[in-house]
Amino acid sequence: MSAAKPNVQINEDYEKLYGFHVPEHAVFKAELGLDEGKVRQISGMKGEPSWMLDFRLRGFRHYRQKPMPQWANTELLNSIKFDDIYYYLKPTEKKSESWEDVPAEIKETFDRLGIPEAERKFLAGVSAQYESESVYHSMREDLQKQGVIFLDMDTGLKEQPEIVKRYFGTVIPPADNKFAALNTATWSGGSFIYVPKGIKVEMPLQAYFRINAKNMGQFERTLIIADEGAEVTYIEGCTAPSYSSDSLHSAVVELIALPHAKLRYVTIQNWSKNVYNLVTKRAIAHEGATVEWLDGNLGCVGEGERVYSESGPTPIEAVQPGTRVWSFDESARQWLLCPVVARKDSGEQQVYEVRCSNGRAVRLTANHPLLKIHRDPSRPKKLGRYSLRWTPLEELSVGDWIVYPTALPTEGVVHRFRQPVLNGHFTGKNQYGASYTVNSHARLPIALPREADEDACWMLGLWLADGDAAVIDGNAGRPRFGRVGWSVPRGDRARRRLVRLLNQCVGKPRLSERKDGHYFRVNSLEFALWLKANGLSSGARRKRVPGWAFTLPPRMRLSFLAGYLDGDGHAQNRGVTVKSASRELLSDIQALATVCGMHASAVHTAQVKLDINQTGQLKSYVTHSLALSRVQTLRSFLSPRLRSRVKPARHPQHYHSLTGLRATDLLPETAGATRITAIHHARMARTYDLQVDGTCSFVVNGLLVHNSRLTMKYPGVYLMGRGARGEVLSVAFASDGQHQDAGAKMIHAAPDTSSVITSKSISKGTGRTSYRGLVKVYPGAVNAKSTVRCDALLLNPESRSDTYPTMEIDEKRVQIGHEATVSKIGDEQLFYAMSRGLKEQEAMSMIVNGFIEPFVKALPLEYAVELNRLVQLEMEGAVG
Amino acid sequence: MTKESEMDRPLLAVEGLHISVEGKEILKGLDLSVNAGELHALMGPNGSGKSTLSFCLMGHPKYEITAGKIRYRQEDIATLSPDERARRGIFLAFQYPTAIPGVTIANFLRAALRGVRGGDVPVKEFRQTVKTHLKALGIPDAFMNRYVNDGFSGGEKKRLEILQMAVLSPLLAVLDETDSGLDIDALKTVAAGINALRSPQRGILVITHYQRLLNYVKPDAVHVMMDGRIVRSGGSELALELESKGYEGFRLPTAPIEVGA
Repeated sequence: MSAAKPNVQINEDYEKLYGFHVPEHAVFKAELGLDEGKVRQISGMKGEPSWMLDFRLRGFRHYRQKPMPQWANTELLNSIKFDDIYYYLKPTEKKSESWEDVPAEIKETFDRLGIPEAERKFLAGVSAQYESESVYHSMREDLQKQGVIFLDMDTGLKEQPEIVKRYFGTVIPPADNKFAALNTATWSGGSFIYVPKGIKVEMPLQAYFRINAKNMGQFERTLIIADEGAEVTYIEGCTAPSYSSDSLHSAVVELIALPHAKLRYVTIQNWSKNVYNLVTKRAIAHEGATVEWLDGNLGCVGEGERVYSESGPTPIEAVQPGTRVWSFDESARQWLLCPVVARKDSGEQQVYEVRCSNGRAVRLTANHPLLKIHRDPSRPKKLGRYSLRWTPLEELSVGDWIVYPTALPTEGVVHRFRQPVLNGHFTGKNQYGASYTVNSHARLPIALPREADEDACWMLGLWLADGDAAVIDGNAGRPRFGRVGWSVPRGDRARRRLVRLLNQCVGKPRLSERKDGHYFRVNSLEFALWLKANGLSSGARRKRVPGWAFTLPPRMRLSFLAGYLDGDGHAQNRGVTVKSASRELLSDIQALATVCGMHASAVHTAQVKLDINQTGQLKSYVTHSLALSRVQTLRSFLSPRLRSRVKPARHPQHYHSLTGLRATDLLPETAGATRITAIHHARMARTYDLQVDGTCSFVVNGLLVHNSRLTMKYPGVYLMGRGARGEVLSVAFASDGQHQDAGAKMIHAAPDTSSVITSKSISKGTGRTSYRGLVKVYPGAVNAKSTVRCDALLLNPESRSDTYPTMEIDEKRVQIGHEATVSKIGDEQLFYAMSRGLKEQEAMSMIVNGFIEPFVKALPLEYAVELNRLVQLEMEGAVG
Repeated sequence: MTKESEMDRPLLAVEGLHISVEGKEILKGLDLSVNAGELHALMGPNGSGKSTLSFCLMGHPKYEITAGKIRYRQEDIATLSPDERARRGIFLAFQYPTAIPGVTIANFLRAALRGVRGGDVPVKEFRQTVKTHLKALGIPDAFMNRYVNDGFSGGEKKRLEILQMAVLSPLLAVLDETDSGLDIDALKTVAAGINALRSPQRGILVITHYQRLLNYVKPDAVHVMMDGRIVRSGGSELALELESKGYEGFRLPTAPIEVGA
């Protein structure tokens, strides 16, 4: 196994990836459909003062000049319709001041979080942004009297131009990075908070953002100023229920704590579904001021990746809680169907594509663990040097072996075919106006199977390869005629069996053959509708393997696959290769073959020149191909001719033998090991994560992955004035096999500054947490003090916690402390709580909740509720 | 036994109990019987196995019963988990209560009460119950918002134990050296708490080193425990005898003699 690190170093590259610095070697420029005229128009429509227009134009110029970072999705940028921004700026919706007028969706968000209505109203100020337009805005009267300003940014500019002018863009200037520049040019909406001198706002102010339109760029701009001696807490929660993959969120958040002010900023993004990319956030703490920062995020699987569930492969975004998905139970070493507890939308994130030697590939975020076959050469050979270990993608390298399912054991259910509803009678009228009933000739007798059997499955598999169907509507718009056809020529290997089967259904006279003998069809509306009703739609690009085929009993599944291969497959050595014009269909076949225990390659795409229609002219086609190997179980289902061409297996089938490893010792029959052949830096993608009950893992694209859950991002505080103070408090929870990061960035740029980073982490089972942080002290920042506290709570003896502090200290007279405490849930604590009547699990979660109490205390109620719920969810199955 | 109770069977009956911790035998055939309505004092020198007995009664997983039986209301409770015992009405006031940082006493008590009752406790009722007991024990209300035993003084810890006992109102209360480390005022409060709990339905086992608690709490029986078994049982006068003679006077000759209770 290679010891080389993969090209995935998300933590090291954090600054680059998340926009603090933009590499200068990037090349292309995107036009974006944005020009100076549009910027002027935006400003004009908003009726902004001229200095803001100048500011926007400056941002626009910087945007044009700055190179595009390499990692950016230029297609996405090009697809932004800047005209839409005008649309959303139209005051189509009035801001509502009362609870009744708040959109139902936002109320639902509160419902989802389980907040009683009375308490919701109690929350000090609630501002909600709906498609850039603030629709609900209210402030407690006493706050208003105190002069606290909490407005959306547009209104803020109108009503408080002096304050805005003074601070806008001072923390993150337009030239900071390309996306900050874009935001400066096009910003709309966001929050504006100003807390006057000496005012202490006790209740947290909060905003909910919603993004729910396609091609919708959100360029919100948040500016929070705590004037001298003021105190304020701001909570940002984002919801993006149907935020589509081709939209962009590029926000700028500037926090300013003026001398001796105290500012606390909380984001818990994924707990309420957030969009997280291209956001520039920074805080500045002036003399004697304090900035506290809490920030949370989740890692996930890319949109469109297919999760293997009980009803066949399902795109991850369509997996509903309650669906049972395939999962690996490590202790029993078997594949299980486990229910999904929750699906999380984790917004746009950087994903990486992992390709494996068995042809499977999946797109994941860097923190997603895969089950790796770990080799420890220091162990005695007798005890075995290999073990299974969940390892996050960022720590995997090309050459590592990971576990995947070779066959998913399922008894299967016999599919009962849906029968189409047919209108058997029509009303006819003669020329004198008398009406009479006409029997539809679509009702000619046809004996279609009621439930699946091997023959029916084979026939439908073959239809998927070579068949077509059409339904023609009559005058009344109702289906009138239908036909089902096969291009199975005379003498084809599948012809005899097909004809025999069709005879049983419709009788020989109903088969009409084309003159050339290459094609024949059955004219039956009922047949055509029957296919449609059972998920088989005609058309080369529309054909898909219906979901029920994945859940058939093994023999029927194999028959279905054999039928498809009898149509489109050809023998190649010991396997079968299949070509198709539809990539989707082939990936379905890939999944079906996997479920049947075969080895499926990746779907390869090629451009070929063919003369399919025998017109004498070559035409260019895009064709996809897929190679299936280890097809022994399938052989007996294939037509004799194809079977005779597939060479029998040389040896009885064995699973991957790794050098020096008997993989069979580690893995059950139904699991194999595959080598990672490449890890690519892929584009930003919409990502999701699943919480699977019990095992916490699931099968995506034929590879086993673990859910990633909570990880922390690294908020940064710049301590610019003498005596400024920064504090970051974070919590991370790693359960079995996970590796969670928490951390912070503190920049000391003035004397007597102090910072405290408190990282609380909980590890359960084989979970592992890490603290990674940067403390930088610039020359001249004498007497800077920094304390890093890492408290780890380990729930099991196998749990683990590490700290990786980075200190860049360019000043000698400083005090930098790093303190790490590790505590275990003692038997004594547990016994004490249990002796008072608490069940073991209750006692555990109570102790864990107590541990993170300092974090929870800093949150407003609904987040605290949500966090406690999350901990409870994480704690389930912790014991017993 | 010194006193006949209405119930003909004892509330707690320990018969020939042998207990090992990590292979080392600590209790070596202990017999003890506590009837409802009685308060027993268990006295003995350090390392005689008093705390082992208390932990074992509560079901600490570390203590292994190698022989003998523990019957509580005629039921063998040896296999029950601590929470199941608590639900049946057994309570242990710890000698060294454990801190649970971040968990407020209010939350802890409410969860405990919910656990013991096996159902939810109305907030109003809970508040009232707690308030009454706080007042009786002379504990300020703000106490409820502190974290369980986190940074508590010795006296505060013991008071919390008594408060929990009062709120949970168990049928069998075992107090493990609740008097140790207390000043005289705290001792009186603790004693008052114990006395308030005395009732014909309840059995109380007070484990202590010293006689001084027994000045405030009148025991129905006193047992002297040495080297893993009870060597002497008697009335409250035994405690005074112990005070004057010291434990040495009770030390057994080389071969242990069975002393009937």
